[in-house]
Amino acid sequence: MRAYLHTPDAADPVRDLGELDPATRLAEVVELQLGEQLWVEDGDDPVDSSMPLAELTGGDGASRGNGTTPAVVHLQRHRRNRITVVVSYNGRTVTDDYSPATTIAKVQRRAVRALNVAAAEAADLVLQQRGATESLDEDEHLGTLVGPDGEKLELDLVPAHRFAG
Amino acid sequence: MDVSTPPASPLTDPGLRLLHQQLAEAKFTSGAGRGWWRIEQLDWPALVVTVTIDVGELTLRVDLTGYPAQPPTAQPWDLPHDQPLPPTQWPTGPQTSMMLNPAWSASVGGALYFPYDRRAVAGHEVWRTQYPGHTWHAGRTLRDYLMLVRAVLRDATFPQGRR
Repeated sequence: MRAYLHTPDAADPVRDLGELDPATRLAEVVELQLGEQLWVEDGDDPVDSSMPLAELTGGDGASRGNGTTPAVVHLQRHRRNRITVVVSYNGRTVTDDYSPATTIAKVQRRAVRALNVAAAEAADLVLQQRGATESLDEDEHLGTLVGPDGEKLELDLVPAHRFAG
Repeated sequence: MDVSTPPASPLTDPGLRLLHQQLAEAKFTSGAGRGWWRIEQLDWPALVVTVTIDVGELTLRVDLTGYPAQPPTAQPWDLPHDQPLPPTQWPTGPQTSMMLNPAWSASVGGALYFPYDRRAVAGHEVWRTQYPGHTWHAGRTLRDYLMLVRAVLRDATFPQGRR
């Protein structure tokens, strides 16, 4: 299985760990800094890095131990357990806590649901950091966006650009 | 003494060397691993790549002349027949049809009408101020181009048989 490690380091945000045997224990291939833990992408709780990779990963990274081994696994190392994300849209705001391994795609799905945005309207929306002009990639991890010490992120849900004129 | 400069070898082209380096970077390979794109052919400065979204896929022939100082320019490509994809086979949708606008794109060799495409940017300098977050510069990569294609294709409908 191919493994990628997302990190809070701006200079090295994602690292290819290569092809790993499902029996590999993450502790053998990932060096954690003091206070850091490991998460599987979009998982809520940190994983026990001494367990075999195959036991830590499920089809979507959130479920584990179901016997399904994904071809690719994305991990995040971080020392924050939770990151507070404030999403604003049309004058309304929703605040939620996520693990640092949460993708922008998952944050957007949850925010759209919490804000009761109609599906047709939601399809045209993207997330961007407050004050930014560029939308965020759906595969970015919150832990990478906030950096090693960040614990809060303010995002705006905005219409995707229409390139016209 | 012959002092003429030999033609640039593809292997010495700094753009190609950079591209090879970027194609091997985790940010690019992880996108391929997620099934977002796959490289079909590389015949510098042309690269054929297929971009995939949930409901279909679009193959593009990308011209990387002058990369990365100059933005890429691409056209929809019929991979099995190794020829441009006819506009009748292009995906459609509110945003998709702005990017792949037969009325405009077909007149400039199928170029994509968005601010990362070299042929579209020419004559649309106003886009630099209209879309500052989508201005091409030498720090951009092929991944940025493909991510923007995927983002626009979110509303795409594909002609039958092109899933």
